[in-house]
Amino acid sequence: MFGRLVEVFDRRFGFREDFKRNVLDHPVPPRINLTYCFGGITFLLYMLLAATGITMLFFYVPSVDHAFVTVEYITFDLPLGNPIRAIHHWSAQLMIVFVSLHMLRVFVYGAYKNPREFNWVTGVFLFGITLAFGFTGYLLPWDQKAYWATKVGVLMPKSLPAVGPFLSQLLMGGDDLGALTLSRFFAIHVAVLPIFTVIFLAGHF
Amino acid sequence: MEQDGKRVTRRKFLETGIGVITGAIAIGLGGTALTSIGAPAITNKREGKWVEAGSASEIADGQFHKVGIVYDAKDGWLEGKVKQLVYVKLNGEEVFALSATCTHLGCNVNFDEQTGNFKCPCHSGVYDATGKNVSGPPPRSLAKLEAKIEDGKLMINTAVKEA
Amino acid sequence: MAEKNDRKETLFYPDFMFKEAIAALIVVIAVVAISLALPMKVGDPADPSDSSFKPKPEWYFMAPFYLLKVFSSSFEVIPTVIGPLATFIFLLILPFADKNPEMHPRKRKLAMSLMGGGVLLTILFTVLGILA
Ligand code: FES
Repeated sequence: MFGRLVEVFDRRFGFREDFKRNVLDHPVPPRINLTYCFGGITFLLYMLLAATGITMLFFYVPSVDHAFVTVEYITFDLPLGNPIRAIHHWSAQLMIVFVSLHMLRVFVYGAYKNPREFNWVTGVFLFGITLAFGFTGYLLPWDQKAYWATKVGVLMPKSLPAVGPFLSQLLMGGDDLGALTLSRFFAIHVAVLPIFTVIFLAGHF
Repeated sequence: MEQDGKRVTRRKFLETGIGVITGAIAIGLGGTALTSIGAPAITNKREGKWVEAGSASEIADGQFHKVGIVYDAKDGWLEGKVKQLVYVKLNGEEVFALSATCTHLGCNVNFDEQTGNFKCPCHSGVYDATGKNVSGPPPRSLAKLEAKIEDGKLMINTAVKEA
Repeated sequence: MAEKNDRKETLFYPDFMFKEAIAALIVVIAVVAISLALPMKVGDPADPSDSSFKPKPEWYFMAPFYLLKVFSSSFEVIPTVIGPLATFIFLLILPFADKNPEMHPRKRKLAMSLMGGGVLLTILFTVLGILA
């Protein structure tokens, strides 16, 4: 509800400015169609993710000996736990889709051009943040899928000469995937990335 | 005129002061936080130790055996059981042990009895029976581990002997 | 002139916002429907001593993951670091590099074909990775 309200305001002001400039810059004003909704839908999905994510924070314990059992608890025992986790999961999938569609729309319409370079640049960062959300969130259930996919992922920078191995160790918080890896992925997923999202989002609207 | 000049100087001074103070606080805080967050990359190393991995009779046939070892280790704040996969084989008196961790991106390799090679399920890296990388993406041989037989028990040292 | 602008704004709000609200409603219903139709499961707990598990990333990381198999070890930095980094930098500098004032896609052949090619390649590698 609050998200919708914020969106109403930001959309209005953002588009108003852009609209005026666009009309001045260009003889043909852009026609509004359904593809203009992609950005708003992405924002809506982000709100769904925040709500379901915070709900799960009440039950999830980010440690290698409790992560799996607390996810099991959320999935099977907690009332409404399964739909909440499912909404988090599916919103995340859809968010990647809609971020991509939104970017493509902006690209095809040439809407990243002067004077909106800044919107585009903050948008690219938001795209990166979304992917980082996906990568860190994937590890949190601490199941086989999570463990092995993340292992391959964190070792990928290793191929970079000189600093590569250190980068991998930095991601893992040690020389192997373990207790500290889960802790830092959790901290990044629920605190660092949301803060950066808010900062870049403020510059994006 | 001079007063104006003075005022500007004073203003400049205050502005610089604000900048320096907030900057110092930000750098101090950020630096402390980042140092602490980054430190485990260097300090959180798993120590090698001798671990019992079953009885010696199990590997008496001179073939490669897949041994999952479980041992107490410290990993950050956690002191508890750690699991690791090792391939061991009896070479006469000597015990030959290889870490199953693929040197490419860390998957565990499988021993293929047909070819006598180790195969990685992830990107099809292949190692020969001595652990040498023979094809696919792996950049190095499998890590060798120290192993021995003591009182009829198979003992493995979790530290990498030779990478 | 001012009048003209005002008319366009009213077009945007509330007309467009109404569309946006409808779209939001459809998406929420869709997400809830998918979530109820496909409830979550859990896998097996992480086991570092298991050698049978084949790692699979999320579909949106499939393209670089797939390329890992294609590039040999000495060129591995291309899919792991250089590719993703180059894509990111390309996107970042796009509005500054593309000085062409044209907005219409048909009049931006170079930009459109570059982006189109990139998107097609990404989709191709993603599909190949999922099929593999
Ligand atoms: S992890 Fe073994 S071949 Fe890539």
